[in-house]
Amino acid sequence: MAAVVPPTSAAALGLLDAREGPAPATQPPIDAGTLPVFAGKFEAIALPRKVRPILAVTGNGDRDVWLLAAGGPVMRWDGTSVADRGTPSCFTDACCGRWIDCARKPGRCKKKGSCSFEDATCVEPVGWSFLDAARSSIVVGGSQYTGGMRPSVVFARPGASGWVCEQGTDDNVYPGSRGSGDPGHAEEVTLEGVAIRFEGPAHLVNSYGGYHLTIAGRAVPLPDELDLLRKGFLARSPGDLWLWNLDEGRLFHGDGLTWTPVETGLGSIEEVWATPGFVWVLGDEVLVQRGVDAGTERRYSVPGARSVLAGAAEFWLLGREANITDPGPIADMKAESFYFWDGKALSRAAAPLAFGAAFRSPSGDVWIAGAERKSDEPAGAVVRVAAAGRKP
Amino acid sequence: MIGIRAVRLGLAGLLFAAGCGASNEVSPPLSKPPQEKKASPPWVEILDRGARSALVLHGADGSAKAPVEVTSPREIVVTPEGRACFVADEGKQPVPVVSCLDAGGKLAWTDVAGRGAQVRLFLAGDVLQIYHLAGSEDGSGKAASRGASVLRTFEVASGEGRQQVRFPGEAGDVARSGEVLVFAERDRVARRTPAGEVVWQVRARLFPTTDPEPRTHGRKVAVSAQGIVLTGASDGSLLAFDRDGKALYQLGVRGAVSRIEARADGDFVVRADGVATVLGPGGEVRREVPEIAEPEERAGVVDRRSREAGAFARTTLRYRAELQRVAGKPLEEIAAVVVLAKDDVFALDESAAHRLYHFDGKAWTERASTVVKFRKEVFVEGVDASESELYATDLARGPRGELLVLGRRMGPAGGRFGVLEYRDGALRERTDLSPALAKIRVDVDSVPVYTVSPKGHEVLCGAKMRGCVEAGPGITPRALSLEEGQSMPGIEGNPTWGPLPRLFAGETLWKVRGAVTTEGDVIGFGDRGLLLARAGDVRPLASPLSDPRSVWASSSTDVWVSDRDALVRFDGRQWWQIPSAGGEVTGSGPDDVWVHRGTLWHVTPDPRARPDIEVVTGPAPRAAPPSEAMRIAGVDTAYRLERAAMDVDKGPPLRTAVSVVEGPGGVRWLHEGSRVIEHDGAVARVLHEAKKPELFHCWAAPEPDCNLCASCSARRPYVAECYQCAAPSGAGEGAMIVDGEWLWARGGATAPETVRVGPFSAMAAVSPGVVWAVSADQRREPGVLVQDKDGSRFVNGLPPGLYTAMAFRAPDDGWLAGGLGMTRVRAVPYPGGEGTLVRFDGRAFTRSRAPEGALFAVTATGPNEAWAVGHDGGVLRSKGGTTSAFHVEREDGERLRVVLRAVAGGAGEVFFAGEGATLLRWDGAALRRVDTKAAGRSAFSGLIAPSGERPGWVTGPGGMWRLVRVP
Repeated sequence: MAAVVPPTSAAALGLLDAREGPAPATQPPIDAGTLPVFAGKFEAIALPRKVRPILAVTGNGDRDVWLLAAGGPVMRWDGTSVADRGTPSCFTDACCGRWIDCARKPGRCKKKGSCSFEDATCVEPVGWSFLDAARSSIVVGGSQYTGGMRPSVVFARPGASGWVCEQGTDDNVYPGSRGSGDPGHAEEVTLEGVAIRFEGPAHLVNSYGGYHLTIAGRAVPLPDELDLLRKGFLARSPGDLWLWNLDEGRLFHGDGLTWTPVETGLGSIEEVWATPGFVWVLGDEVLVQRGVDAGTERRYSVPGARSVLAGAAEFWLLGREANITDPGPIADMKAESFYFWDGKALSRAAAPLAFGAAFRSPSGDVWIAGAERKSDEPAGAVVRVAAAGRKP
Repeated sequence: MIGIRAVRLGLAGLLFAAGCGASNEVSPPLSKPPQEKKASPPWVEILDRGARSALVLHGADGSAKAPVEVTSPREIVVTPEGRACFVADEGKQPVPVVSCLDAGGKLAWTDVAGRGAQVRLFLAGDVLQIYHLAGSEDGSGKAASRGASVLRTFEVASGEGRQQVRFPGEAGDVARSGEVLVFAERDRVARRTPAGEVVWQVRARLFPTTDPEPRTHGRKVAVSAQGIVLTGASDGSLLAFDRDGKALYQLGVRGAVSRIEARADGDFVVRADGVATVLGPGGEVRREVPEIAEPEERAGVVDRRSREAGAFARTTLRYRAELQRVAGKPLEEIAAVVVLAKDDVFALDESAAHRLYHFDGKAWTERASTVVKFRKEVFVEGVDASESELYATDLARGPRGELLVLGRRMGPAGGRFGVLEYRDGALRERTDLSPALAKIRVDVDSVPVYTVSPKGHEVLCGAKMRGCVEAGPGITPRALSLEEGQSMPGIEGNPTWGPLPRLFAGETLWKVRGAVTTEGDVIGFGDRGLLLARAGDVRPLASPLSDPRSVWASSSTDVWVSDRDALVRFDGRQWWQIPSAGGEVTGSGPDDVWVHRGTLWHVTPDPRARPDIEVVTGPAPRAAPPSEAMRIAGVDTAYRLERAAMDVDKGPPLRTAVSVVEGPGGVRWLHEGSRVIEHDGAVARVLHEAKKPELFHCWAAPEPDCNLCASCSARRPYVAECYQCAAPSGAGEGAMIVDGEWLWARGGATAPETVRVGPFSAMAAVSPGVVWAVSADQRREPGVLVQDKDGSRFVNGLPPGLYTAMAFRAPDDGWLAGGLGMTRVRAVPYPGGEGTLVRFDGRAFTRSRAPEGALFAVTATGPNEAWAVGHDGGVLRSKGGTTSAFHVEREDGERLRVVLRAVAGGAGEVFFAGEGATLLRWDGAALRRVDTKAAGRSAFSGLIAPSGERPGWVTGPGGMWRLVRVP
């Protein structure tokens, strides 16, 4: 054993720790004021008159972008202008939030709005809060919560003669004969030919079942027994996994066998995502950039940043996403700056509007929607940032 | 025999049958009181006083003073003059208080330490030193930081304060011997002067673990009369220093160190996990014995408090449990079972099907739907007539031995209990009970409980105590008042029994939360666990189950107790774990027991059961010397890695494998997760593939939006509790664990093993057709289960530990590797503590210590020769009875602290692989790094060494690579 070096002292005892002094402190974040100014351009998109703040934006292409405004109006961008597509009008029963087809059951809809719980002739209008383009056609959705364990969800989709209402398929009703419940919530992705599935808990009144990760059909043990806390998950490959706890700021890196705690210095985590060469962590208005190969870390102060619109190599840091159930202003007036990573550097842009929602088109155009910043009763506003290489 | 199933009343307690016969055969396992010491100097005796203790001070003249009652006395010191001081708890929210007794045994003075404070007492002449420690007991940092420990000194006689000294740091323990004063913090041990100045200090780490949860240290410390300092922590790690801070040795014991005592002869007693380890001053292990067998030696104190050894159940294979099926499918969601006779058993299915099944001694058949519909009628007093349905919730034996089905009969405006009688293949309501039952209105979650006396006196009550109904010979069925249903003369006055079950009528007890034996003994549940009542005497019956739920007995020497997951049997002398699921237990006799909790198991004696194999346990080795450095001598140009996917016959290509194992004849099994692939060197085929599990989902039934009715599907697949989960013993032959299930491969097809033992942490083929599996839960089972063509048997004598790997070269030349300790997060066992390598030579198990931490892999490279790897780049080599420990260093001399998870090779060449794409080759002279750029930073967990022209394989969750010799 020529290469064996004899122990030099009893310090070779594995349980002795030769470290001295406290652990090195995390680097202070780079001040946002020192970031370069965003060199691109926000192109204002004209909206129909008297549109209230925009709650949601999505689409199927550069010429098929849909907008949902507060109060329910739905609009569509066809590549040249935004046109009003009307406001879906759907109703649910008062007791349970179940959709009622008033055209077929007019007796159930004698009264509309402000129903008493038992009144079987009264229906409540659906408040619209989200758009979904991932279905066969654009869907406007609204959650009707009337108490109990869960809300009901109602959809409206464009039909030949106006909006067509239907009971939502995401209303936490398990499709089967065993009663009402909560369906599975799984994120599934295939990376390097390997299927990865991350399941969250079911939410009835309480959370049930915690989280579950499978890779190639193998259940991967997860850290943290605090199942009720919200977790996030990112897989860069079957052997490069990231798991975080949103509320406590705990971040773990996994190699498929072991989870290693990663010190972030953050009290909470909004989002974790990856671009080539880096993993990014947003929390507490601080952005942490971790070099995946070199293990380097850089921190940026990003006041107002509460959400991410990530592309393959670039991303935007934006404000808090609109939530119709929040009291107060729907759009985020506090986010005075947006931030943009172009693959090489982070820049800062004065927010052209109060943020509410964002969407990246397949070609890379970024739509940022919300409300005018300076108004007592702000109207809806939308800007577009052209994809790199395309002139606005 | 009166077999009685546990009542699901949610009422704790024990009832006792009137007129039960006395028997002296059964006695609970009680510990022996400690031997009394002869004390010529003054001494203190500690006696049991129920929840409290009594301290009796004995003077030098031999006189005993009046007892002083206190709670949890500790830290007792006695002066030569006959005064004594101690710490005890006071108040409902306990606050430690220091008290001193005068020489007459009377309280002289007290000093309140403050809530949550850790207090240590020492005597220095006539001065009492009280250390108020800043750290919490477990070192978790949960306690509010005090910043410093404080020493306060008092005159013992007067209580007059003399001095106060602050000692910076968050010490959780302090020890003193002569002038050596040592404080233990989370990760630091410091010797200080009496004035608080540091003489020396060192940082101590815990053994590494892959468990990502935050760890507590709970560091303890003791100082021997010779000035040797020994500190221990929650992972069983021990470090010794001399009085000048020079490190002497390190050692590991199993479990968290709860206390270290320094003995006058220089030995230390380390208490951890119920075991006392006596260490000599040089780290030699004098003995490892149950903690109760090693009484504490504390000058001037004799502790007579009873110390009950926890009951221990060793698994036996003399009984086997068979999963019950109907028409080939397992019975599921079984809510109740009634055994009318050995060949007349009924089971109630509570699933949506609501079926009644019958067992005729050979097979189960479906008999009837238990949802019975009734026409419109008044069936609850005060409620309008309506249609109704009866939902069955339970089964019972009726007064004539017939089957009764109990349930809720519900209509739109309310419901009541209903009783159906099964006769001639049909269910009919017991209309004789209906008028009385109609008086008790129930909710959808009410559960009826029924019992009948031998003379036919029936009682049915609601679990929520809404009322009872009684019927029987000469009794017109009537509703009982609540008071009538609850009172029980003659028993309520006995506080030992705690809350009483309420179900009785008149003078006769019919149903207990427990069981009544033929001898009249009652075994039931008290507030503090199992109780045995015999001829009016009630005493605890120590149970190996911490939370027993159900008990059934055919006699005092045939007592069956179960919890949610386990079934144990008391044979009158000791407990045995039965390889079965847990749940509700019932039976018809000692050879006919039924257990259900969803699924249904029939437990019967196994006529093929063979005796265990007894193996000698070698002595615990002394402390291992420090590991030697094994420095990487550059890049290995002899090999390279090539990323590969393996084409699989009739299946998608294999791209990852968490393990790869080579069996006899060169057959290789690759464990992907849901698939086990067999590769014979040319063709890969699927040996087993688990079904894709459905997504997790929950539902509420029968009421929508009903949180109380919510159920969820199982999270599947299960997380593997094994580390080495495949054991090929030939082509298409061997064993594996997939999705929590032990499967046999025979002739290329897989089938489940029916014996319910385990979970297992590792398995290996010993020879063709013979597989060893090592248990991860050795509190219940011997370490090793051997499976061969004749069935299963246990191997006794394996030192406790969590074993993650096994390797056999021959049936009498095997190795087991793992860690002494473990933690569990959910079901997953994580090896921790000191690493351990155990050699099996066919006769004895011989241990070696792995000082870098737990081991993850072992390979047998020659006769009585093995290499093992594990935490922190730790490598162990054992040859010819001598074991050497190494740690890997990088080229620059820094330690390579990675988890090594795989080792493979032969006599002249050994490969190590692990996290961070670590792949190293030892060629007998030097350790070199194989270029792994092709793998990025993937973790490696599987490894087959190249052999001749045949390339090796390196696998992990991130991919598979061929290990190819460079021409």
